[in-house]
Amino acid sequence: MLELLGIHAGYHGVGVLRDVSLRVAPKAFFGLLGANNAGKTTLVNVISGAVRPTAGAIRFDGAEFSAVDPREAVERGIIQVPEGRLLFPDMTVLENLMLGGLSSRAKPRRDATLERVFTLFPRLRERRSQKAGTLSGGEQQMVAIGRGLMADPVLLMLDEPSLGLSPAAVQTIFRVLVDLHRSGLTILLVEQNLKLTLSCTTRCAVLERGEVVLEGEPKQLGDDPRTHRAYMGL
Amino acid sequence: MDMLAQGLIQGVLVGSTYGLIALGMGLIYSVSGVVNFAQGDMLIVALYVALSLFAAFRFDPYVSVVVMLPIMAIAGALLYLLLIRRIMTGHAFMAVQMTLALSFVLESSLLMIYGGDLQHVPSAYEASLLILGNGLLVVRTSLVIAFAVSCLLSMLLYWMLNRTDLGREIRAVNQNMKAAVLMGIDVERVRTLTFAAGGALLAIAAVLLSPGLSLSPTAGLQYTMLTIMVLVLGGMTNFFGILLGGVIIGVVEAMGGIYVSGTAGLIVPYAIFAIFLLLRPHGLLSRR
Ligand SMILES: Nc1ncnc2c1ncn2[C@@H]1O[C@H](COP(=O)(O)OP(=O)(O)OP(=O)(O)O)[C@@H](O)[C@H]1O
Ligand SMILES: [Mg+2]
Repeated sequence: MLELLGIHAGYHGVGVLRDVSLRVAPKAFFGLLGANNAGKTTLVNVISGAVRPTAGAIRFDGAEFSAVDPREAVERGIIQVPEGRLLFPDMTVLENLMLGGLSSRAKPRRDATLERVFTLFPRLRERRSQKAGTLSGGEQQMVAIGRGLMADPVLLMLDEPSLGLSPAAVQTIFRVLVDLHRSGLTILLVEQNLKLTLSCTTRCAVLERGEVVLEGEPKQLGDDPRTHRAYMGL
Repeated sequence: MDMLAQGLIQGVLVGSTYGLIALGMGLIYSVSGVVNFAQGDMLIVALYVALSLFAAFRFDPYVSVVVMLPIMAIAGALLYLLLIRRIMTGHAFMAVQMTLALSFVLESSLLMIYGGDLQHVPSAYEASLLILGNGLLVVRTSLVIAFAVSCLLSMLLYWMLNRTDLGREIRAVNQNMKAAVLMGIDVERVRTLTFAAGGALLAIAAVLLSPGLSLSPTAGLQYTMLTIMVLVLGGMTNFFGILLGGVIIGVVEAMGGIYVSGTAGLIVPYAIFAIFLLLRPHGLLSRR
């Protein structure tokens, strides 16, 4: 599905990612773990085409792919639910969702996809006319995920969706992610919450200071002391 | 009393068109963060285009608008594509410098082409009056048309912003540019179309203001200042605030013209504006 080969990237000449190679198999629920500043968001943005890699290659669906702008990625079915949600705060829930489905890929099926999102998150149907900025954190995350799903993705990337949410909200959201994975969606989940990630993913990698230091089955990683070490940033 | 009512109504009617011009400027600001100091000069250019169309083909301004609309829309788009796009990520002063420079270039060009004498665009309605309430109220027909068209266009704009994909995209770019990019919105396209819409609104505003207007190549900056006042009063991106700001500035201008003699009357809107800024620095309708 998605293959990263020796990706280097950074900002203004300062390197962040160093020689990152990863393979996300079709229908995988892939977890990317790492401490603060490890470069997780940078990696997601490279895949999205929002940050240009300085070296390396990306392969998507078997073909060489390097998005020079996120529109291309979205058209190909790669969408991210960004860190911090980044909603359009003064727009209603419905408007936020509609804005997720503007690509020529998603637009023809927009009404049907909207219905699907409302079925996944009945809460959003109730709140459809409310301004997104006035929702609770958990509801806002639902909108962010819903907006991502409106793009009709092949690969859904989520950047720390549990950040700042109540345990109950986290549970609701992860239950939906597991459902989405079961229904055949490929997911790349970026998280700091180790236990949670290991419990729902099918494969994981640990990023430490811009490098992939570990990769394997969640169970393997959970038992490996190096995971916990990398994770604590020690 | 009569004069007060007359002034009030005239102010409201003209002010609606100021509101329209400011909505155009506000739209541009909302997607680019740039205040276009050449907005007033572009309005004046549109008026001179109307003048030339009359001189060449005897077109009434109400007819010329069909030609002016696309010209000004393209001018707006080019303003973004050729100038603003290159400097908008830099320091805010660069955009101020750039649009001010454009203002002077337009002004000087108009001076070279048309000369400095006051001119006016002949129109079928310039002398036509509407007499209401048995002569209690006399208003120029052109002002009533300006008011009706401005209201109608504002409603259309409001509908576009709230009910169409492009409108939602414009607001998305304003509210969270980074998210707009990640959702695959073509920000460049949205900005170009918004600048084009701002230009098109100027073509219409020019036609609405033209009957009876003394036209001078150097009036542009004054319109820009007026528009910026309206925009700031309205709170920069608040749709209804901007319309209301237009009406208020229109009324204040009319009142100043009636009650304060001569040149001092021209100062009134600016003075009121300054006082207002001190009281409500975030705009008329802000809750802060
Ligand atoms: N836009 C940017 N410009 C300059 N440097 C940046 C930018 N974004 C991130 N960085 C730097 O790149 C490094 C990696 O940041 P990144 O956001 O990718 O880490 P992260 O793993 O997502 O961290 P977190 O868990 O805090 O979200 C950090 O040192 C950060 O300061
Ligand atoms: Mg991050």
